[in-house]
Order: sequence, then C-alpha cells, then structure tokens
Amino acid sequence: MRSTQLSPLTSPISTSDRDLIAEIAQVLIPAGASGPSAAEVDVAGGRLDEFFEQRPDLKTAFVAIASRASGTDVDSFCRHLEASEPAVFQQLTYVIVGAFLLSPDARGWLGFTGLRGEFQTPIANDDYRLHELLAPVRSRPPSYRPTAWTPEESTA
Amino acid sequence: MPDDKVDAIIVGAGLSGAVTANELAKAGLTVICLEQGDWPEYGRSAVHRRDSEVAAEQYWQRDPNVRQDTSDYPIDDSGSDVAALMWNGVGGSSVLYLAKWNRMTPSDFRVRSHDGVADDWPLSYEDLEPHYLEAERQFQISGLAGDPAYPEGDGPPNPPLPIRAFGARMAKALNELGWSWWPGASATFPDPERSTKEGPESIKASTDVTHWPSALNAGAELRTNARVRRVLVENGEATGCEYIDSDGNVQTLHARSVILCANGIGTPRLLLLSATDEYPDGLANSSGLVGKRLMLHPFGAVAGLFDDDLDTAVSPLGQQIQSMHFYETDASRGFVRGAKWGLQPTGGPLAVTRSYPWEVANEVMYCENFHETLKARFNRAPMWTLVAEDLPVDTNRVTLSDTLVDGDGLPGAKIEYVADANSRALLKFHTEKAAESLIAAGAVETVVAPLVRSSGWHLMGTAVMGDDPANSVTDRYGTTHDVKNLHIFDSSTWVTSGGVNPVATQAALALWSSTHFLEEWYAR
Ligand SMILES: Cc1cc2nc3c(=O)[nH]c(=O)nc-3n(C[C@H](O)[C@H](O)[C@H](O)COP(=O)(O)OP(=O)(O)OC[C@H]3O[C@@H](n4cnc5c(N)ncnc54)[C@H](O)[C@@H]3O)c2cc1C
Repeated sequence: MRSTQLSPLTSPISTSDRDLIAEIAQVLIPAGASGPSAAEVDVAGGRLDEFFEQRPDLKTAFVAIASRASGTDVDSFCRHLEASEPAVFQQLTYVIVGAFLLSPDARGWLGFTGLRGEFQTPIANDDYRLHELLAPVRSRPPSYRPTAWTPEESTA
Repeated sequence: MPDDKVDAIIVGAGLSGAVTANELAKAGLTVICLEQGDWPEYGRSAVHRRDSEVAAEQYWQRDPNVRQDTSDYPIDDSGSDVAALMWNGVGGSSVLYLAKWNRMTPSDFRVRSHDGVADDWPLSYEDLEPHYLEAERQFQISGLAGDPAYPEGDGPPNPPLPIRAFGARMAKALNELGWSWWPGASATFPDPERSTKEGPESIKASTDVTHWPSALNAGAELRTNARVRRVLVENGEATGCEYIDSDGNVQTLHARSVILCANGIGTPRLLLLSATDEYPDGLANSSGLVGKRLMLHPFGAVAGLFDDDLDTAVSPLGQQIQSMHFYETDASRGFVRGAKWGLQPTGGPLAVTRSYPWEVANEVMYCENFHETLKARFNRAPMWTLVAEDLPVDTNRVTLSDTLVDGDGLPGAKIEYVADANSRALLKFHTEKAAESLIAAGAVETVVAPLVRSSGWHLMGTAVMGDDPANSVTDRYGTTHDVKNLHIFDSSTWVTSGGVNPVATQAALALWSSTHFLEEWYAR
C-alpha cells in the first residue's frame, strides 16, 4: 500500500497559545487604520478555527512559530522575524491574514465579495471598440521572422 | 505477437497523454493509459466558496514537494534556481494550468539559423500549423486571428475574451508607446451554460474535461493509481510496462508500442528507471542526452498599482492581452531570443499579500502599513507575466535522486537548473520594459520580480528530437532512435523552448506525432 505523506493534526490550540496568537495578530493587523483590526474580527478565535478546518496541515508549524514569541516583546519579535527569517514569517502571516480574510467584516471593508467564477462572455469578433484599439497595431508590418529567413537575407 | 498485447500503452494521462489516447482510440487501436494519480475532485475546492483562497493552496497546490499526495514523486530542487511544478493525475498539469494559449512562432523552430545558438527543430511552424488549428478546435480556444507576431492564417474557433478595463488601459498605453499587443488567446470555454455549474471543470479546457470522456467513449482504457516503474524491453523492442497498482502490487502489461507522456521530468525519470544490463545508462539513451537540456521558461512578473479600481480581483485564468513586441531577437539588446508578455489579474486579497511579484515588494506589508497596502493592491493591480525563452544547456538536467523516494519506493527526480547570463539579461530587459508600459498606463508604482523561483510549470527538452541519433533521443515524430516502438509525445522532445506558454505546441505536437504514428501503423 502506498504511504500517505500528509498527517493532519487535530489537537486543539491551548488558551495560552491563543492569547499569544491574538497578540501577534494584533501587531500585524493593528487597530486605528481604515479597516478592522485582528482583534475586531476575532482572528485568534473563531476565524483561526475556520482556517484550520481547511488547512489542518499548517497548524503544528504555525503554533510552533507563534510560540517562539512567548516571553518576548511581540512587536519586536514580528519585525525581527520578517527581517531574519522571511520564509517563516510568511508561514505566520499566511495563516493570520487568511483567517482575517474569512471574516465578513474584513471582506466588507475591502469590498471583496468572493472570487468570481472566471467565465466571461466572449466579445464579438467585430466589437468596434476592440478594433479601434487594434488599428495602430494592424497598421504596422508583421513582426515575425518567416521560416525561410536566412542571415544573408536579413543583412541584404 | 501474443494475444494479450494491447496496441499501445500510454504512460501519463495529462495533456499529451489525453490528446494521444483520444486520437489512437478513435482510430480503433486498443489503448491502455497508465496514470499514477486519480481524477481531480473539483468539489474539494471551488472558486465560489468563501474559503476558496485558503483551501485551494492545499488541494490545488502546484508544488508536488509541498502537496505530497500519494500520486506525487519528490523532486530534489535544491540545486535549481526554479522549482518544478505539476499536477499528477488525470488531466495532468492542465488541471492546474492558467489556460493561456500561445502558438510558437516560425523563428522558434529555427534558433540556430537565426541566432547561431542552440539547434533548429527538425520540423517547422508550417508543419505544425494544421495541428495547431485542430488543437484549437479540440480545446475550444477563444482568441483572434491576425496577430502580426504570426504568419497570416486561420485562428481559434471562438472569439476572444473581454480585455477588461485593465486590458484596455494597457492597450492604450502600448499604442501610445508604439508597441504591439493583441487580445490574449485562452483555453476557457465561451459557453454560458457552463458558468452555472460549480467548480473549475465548468470553465477551463483541461484534458480530463476536453479529451478523456471522448477517449474513453472511443474505447480507450484508463488505469488510475498505476505508477509505471519501468518500460520493458526485449531484443531491442519495447514489450510493455511494469507498474505498481494502488494496493502496491506490481503488474505487467504487454503492448506493441509504448508512448511516454509523463512530462519533461516524468519521462526522463522513467527512461532512467528503465535501465538494464543492455541499457545501463537508461533506455533510449545512446546519445547520453536523456535528462539533459532541461528548459523551464524562466519567469518574471511585473505588477502595477493604479489609483483606480480596475477589477483585477478575479481569477487569473486566460490572459486579457498579450504583447510580443520584443519577442524576436534584436542583437543590440545584448541577448538573444525574447519573451511573451501576458496581462492578467492578480486575484483575491490573500493572493496580493504573497506570491509573485509581491514577495519582492520593497514596502513593509504588515503592522501600521497593513490596511493601506492591502487596499492599494486589491482590485487595482494588473500584472504582466513574462515567459522567457531559455536556451538548452547540457548541465541543466534531470537525474534520479539518490536520497528521495516516492510512496512506492522508487527514486524521485533531481533537477539542476541555473538561469544563464542570456536568460538573466533577457528578463532584466523585459521586466524593465514591462514596468515602463505600466507607468505609461498611469501606474503609481510597479513591483518587479525578475526571476520567480516557484515557476517551473513548463518542463521541456529532456529527451530531445533530431535527425541524428548521435545528438538526439527521438526522431522528429517522437520515436526513439534506439527502440523503434518506444515513443515520446510530450515536451521532453523540444529542441528549444520558445518564449510562450507551451500547451498549444504540446497539443499540436501530440497530434502531429499521433498522426504519423497512425500512418505508420496502417502502412505496416
Ligand atoms: C500551475 C500551472 C499553470 C500552468 N499554466 C499554463 C498556461 O496557462 N498555459 C500553458 O500553455 N501551460 C501552462 N502550464 C503548463 C502545462 O500545464 C503543461 O505544460 C502541460 O500540462 C504538460 O503536458 P504533459 O502531457 O507533458 O504533462 P502533464 O500534463 O504534466 O501530464 C503528465 C502525466 O504523467 C503522469 N505520470 C508521470 N510519471 C508517471 C509514471 N511513472 N507512471 C504513471 N503516470 C505518470 C503524471 O501523473 C501526469 O498526470 C501550467 C502548468 C502549471 C503546473
């Protein structure tokens, strides 16, 4: 039987870890700006749980990174992590921003109603606006080099 | 020949495997396709769902080293400037592709003649043109004929997609600069009926949707969760394949011919895995070129930030406009060959906090800057993506990993790839020009990623075609010089990479090779 290499971890996040995550999230997404802060949309609570329902595979690493902030000045921890370990910082911010953006309030502030399906009605081949825009392009000679081209011909 | 032999085994049910299976089955041959993965489960992450941006990066993860599904094999990319990306399952990487559709140009097949480097292909644009047209019909491509970057001729069957507000903005700017552009060609279905269904299968022409139903209907058999571990050879002829099924059992399947469609990494991996006493360096490798000359299309991206809402928060399928203005070689630039630019949206809000080109942005995204930076990017950031031609170099290569194994215990692949001075100079020039065009269109800022690491979605060149067996692995039709009934119909055979997204040429080449295969079959 083939081995499955993913092992989703389901252990709950402890209260102390959650408190620390809340602090980190509030540093990264602070109050006082044009949009809601991390605390205002409960990033470290319900949003985080929603996030990990989708991505249980990221939980252990995320909690391990966050717990490194324990006993430090969280603001300096974040800024130092970004400068010294950008890849690890990205693991941290991916979860926090991902959780933030699951909040209807955050999405409302941004005006994001969800990714739209990509279907687009094709334009008619004779759409006049497109053809007006294309007129200057069409007025120039073709730019491709034909197969029969040889170096001798090009310098002639 | 024993009766239990099928006419053809196809290894890999991806883009080229699906196109090939469909052609051969419709012609009445008995075909079994062995695919190491399974059918995609679109329900697991649909674009309409609130959590789609979060969920997509797990199930639709592009990097097999991160995804680590049972269908994946590990790829040691520690010695590579670029990570290899792919989907292993029915549809192959067309399940993930962004549906940008571009033919190569005539000069792409004549790099040695034009520019004095690399080699010419043993076939021409004109040879492939009827197959491009047929591929465009089969994939129901949307686009517009008449791009001056190509010879005159018929184009895709469906009209182009709307160029959107940001496409029009950029088109005007390019007109003012005197640079050419054209509405992008895309493999997205122009069929309103489909948009009412949920999930990507309703929108995009991936081969699990466009080709497999028809191939199966015509009698092809598709065995999923079947990982081929070696091609069997006896007396200089391929006799079939050995594969491992989902229960871990080794199965043997006999065939009159074997066609490899396992992609630019999977195909050389399998040829190397198939080494025997008779073929100690791997199968079909008398030239020593199996695995060498890996080309990955080094990739740059340039986004512009605009003050107004340009509706760029949509999924990046297809391309609004494309520009091949700087595509052909101009010796005064200090490098040869060029790149296609494709204009696309930058996606949802999570996407604009990371990924390319944002990871190289200078501004600090978080803390006191978070809200304003997100607002500035969201919906206001069109992006040029640049597909650069890279030249074939023997030291850029695929070998077997001696440290990593897949779930069946088979060696993974190792890739070594260095973007050379020509590629770097090319990307520098093109990213600067792309940024100039965005500024001309009114962008207040540009974010430039000159070489994105996580961008190895095009895998080419590792079993090159040619007329001379000493310098190539297959002939112009993908038949290996060493083993006459062993064929390669994927882009491993590419001589040079061109500077455009590869699917159009991969599909056309699979049709060209299949057509010849059938002609030979009936001539026997
Ligand atoms: C994220 C992403 C975006 C892309 N966007 C575009 C785009 O917009 N436009 C474009 O032109 N191209 C794009 N591409 C590239 C395009 O999808 C690929 O070039 C194309 O799918 C390659 O076709 P193929 O047949 O060579 O291989 P694939 O489609 O990769 O199929 C190979 C198949 O072989 C199977 N296989 C491999 N080894 C074995 C084995 N030992 N046994 C059994 N099965 C095996 C694999 O599981 C896989 O299903 C994109 C690719 C990616 C990953």
